[in-house]
Amino acid sequence: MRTIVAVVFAGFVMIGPSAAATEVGVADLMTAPEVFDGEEITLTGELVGDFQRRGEAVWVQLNDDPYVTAPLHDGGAPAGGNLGVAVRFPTRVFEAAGFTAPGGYRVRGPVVRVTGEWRFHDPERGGETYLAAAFFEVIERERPITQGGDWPVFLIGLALVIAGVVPRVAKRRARRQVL
Amino acid sequence: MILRRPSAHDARLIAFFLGRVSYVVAVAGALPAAWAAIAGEWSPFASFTLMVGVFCILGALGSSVRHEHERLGWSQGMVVVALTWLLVPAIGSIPLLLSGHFGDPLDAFFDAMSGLTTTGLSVIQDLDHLAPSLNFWRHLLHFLGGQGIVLAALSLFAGGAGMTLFYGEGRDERIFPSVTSTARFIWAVSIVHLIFGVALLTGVGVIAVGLEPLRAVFHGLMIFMAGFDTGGFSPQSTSVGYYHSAAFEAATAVLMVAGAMSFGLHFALWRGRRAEVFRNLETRTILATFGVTLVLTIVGMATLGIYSDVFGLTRQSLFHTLSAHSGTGFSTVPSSEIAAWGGLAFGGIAVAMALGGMASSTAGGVKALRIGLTVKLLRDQVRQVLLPERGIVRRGYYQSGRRRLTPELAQAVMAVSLLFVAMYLIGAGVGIAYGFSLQSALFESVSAGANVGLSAGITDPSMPTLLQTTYIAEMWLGRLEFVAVFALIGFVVSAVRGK
Repeated sequence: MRTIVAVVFAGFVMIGPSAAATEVGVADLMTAPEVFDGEEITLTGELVGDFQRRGEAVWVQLNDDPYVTAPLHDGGAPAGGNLGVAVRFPTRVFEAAGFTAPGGYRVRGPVVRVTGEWRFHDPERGGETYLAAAFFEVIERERPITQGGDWPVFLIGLALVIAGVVPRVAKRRARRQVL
Repeated sequence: MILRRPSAHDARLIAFFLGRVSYVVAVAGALPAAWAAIAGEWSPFASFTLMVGVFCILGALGSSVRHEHERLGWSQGMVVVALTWLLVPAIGSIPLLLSGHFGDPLDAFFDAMSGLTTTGLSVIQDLDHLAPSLNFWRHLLHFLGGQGIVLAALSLFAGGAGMTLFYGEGRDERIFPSVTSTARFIWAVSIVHLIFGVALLTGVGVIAVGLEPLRAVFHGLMIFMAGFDTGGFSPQSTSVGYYHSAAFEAATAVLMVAGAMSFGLHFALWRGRRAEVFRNLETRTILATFGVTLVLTIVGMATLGIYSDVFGLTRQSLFHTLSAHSGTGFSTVPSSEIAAWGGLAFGGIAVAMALGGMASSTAGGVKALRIGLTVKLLRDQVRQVLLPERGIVRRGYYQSGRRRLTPELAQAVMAVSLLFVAMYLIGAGVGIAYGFSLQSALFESVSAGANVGLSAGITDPSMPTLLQTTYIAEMWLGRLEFVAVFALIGFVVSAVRGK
């Protein structure tokens, strides 16, 4: 069900992916971010949080962790914390994809394969660390996640609320009547 | 020494006040429940209802054991405070556990304790897909804990319980003669900051970060609660680094400074007594220690050579030193990078964390007032030695008025400071025993004990249970500044061995 469907948007190509681009994971970047500084790399992962639209660029967090295929509340297995890095997309290229929502509680975000230059504490951007995207392809579109209510838990809770509040309200009323 | 076994009356009185606090937290818990209901997040809504139900039941049980108008003694009050700070995270962890984002109940309790004690260390999994209402609850725990959960109850019902509960939560100065008035003033300051803080962060979020307005309000609210209450949780897994904006970091820094200031200082500023602010020993101390740790961090970062521009170097050094010194724990870089800093930068941040903010603020750590008094004591001792035999050094200091530095005060200051150091070292020892480096183990232990939340990577869902329990104990002890916890231990020992 969770097979990754490769959907390549040829129209997004700004500069074709270079053969020199190294395929890395976010974990590699966390371990030794300086090693890849200035190199062309390719990252694959889910765009989560917000699309931070700032004029000429859109900043998005790209997560490369087990929750890309299945978030925890959508059947995923616990596998530690998230692993994410920032990606800075040129606005024109990003908007052409027509993403409706980033990943979050209600959406498993778009999964993309991004190629660009890894910039570790970039002096041109106040020391930010990010992937300056030159090209990306959409591996899987965003999809909604639905989580139903846990009604037995709700009913137990409601019963406890009633049991906890009613006697107190009754006691107060009784005291007022005495006064 | 003969120990007096606590009576049934003591137990009933403690249960009664715990019941009252439970009702107050039930009301607070209704907020994320309402959020979940409005947003249609039905699974979290169910778990919040269960949590509120448990608090209500505890409230009813507590209220049923005795009449309300009885005074709470010093030791009983301390026990109430210590138990409250165990009970609230225990029950408050219910929605976290049921969310499926925590591996086991201890993990959920760890995060709830971290939230309430405004620490900010987290073992949550897949935070980036967490329901907004659950994120709100995590941050609301910061707000409740930062203001003082018992203080919240105090502002509603003081009775004869005021003083002891107030001091039990690690607050040292009353702003008004009445504790209830002081509690209400603290809440008033916080609400005003809430309005301005959320507005500021929302504005910066929309204009500088490029967030959509509703999302900017959400982020603004979360970051306000974590920043002003010097907590350190964040709605996304990459902390404040998520926003990639110097303007957003600057707005956050304003809140961290406000959170690390004592409420007495807020009061002086509200009254326009600016001159007094800079006469205070605590203000001078924190400015000095912040300056020193900032220089250490900048030099250390420069030595590492990871920043090739002055702006980037200064921005990151300033933000992390402020985050550490205020006890907030926000970060703009991953914990793996913090762990790799080493040397002066690592030391500067660690020392800033250990020292902490001002007394009677939302910050943790040893606190600037104690550092200032310790330095003053040492200086007076040296001056005494240098004076002729009959010479006398006047021992006093300025803190919202001229005060005497009595031997009793000096003893208390030294004792608590040493307890903090001992706690940091014990926590580090446990970390080292599990194979972590001295540097990382000490950093993480200080972060937990000083309620900061910066991590060198040890705090993780897969961390050893004993180490996790040690950090929970450190967060609890550090937030209550030992006294209430020791009173609880004494109470239990007396119950077992007393006559």
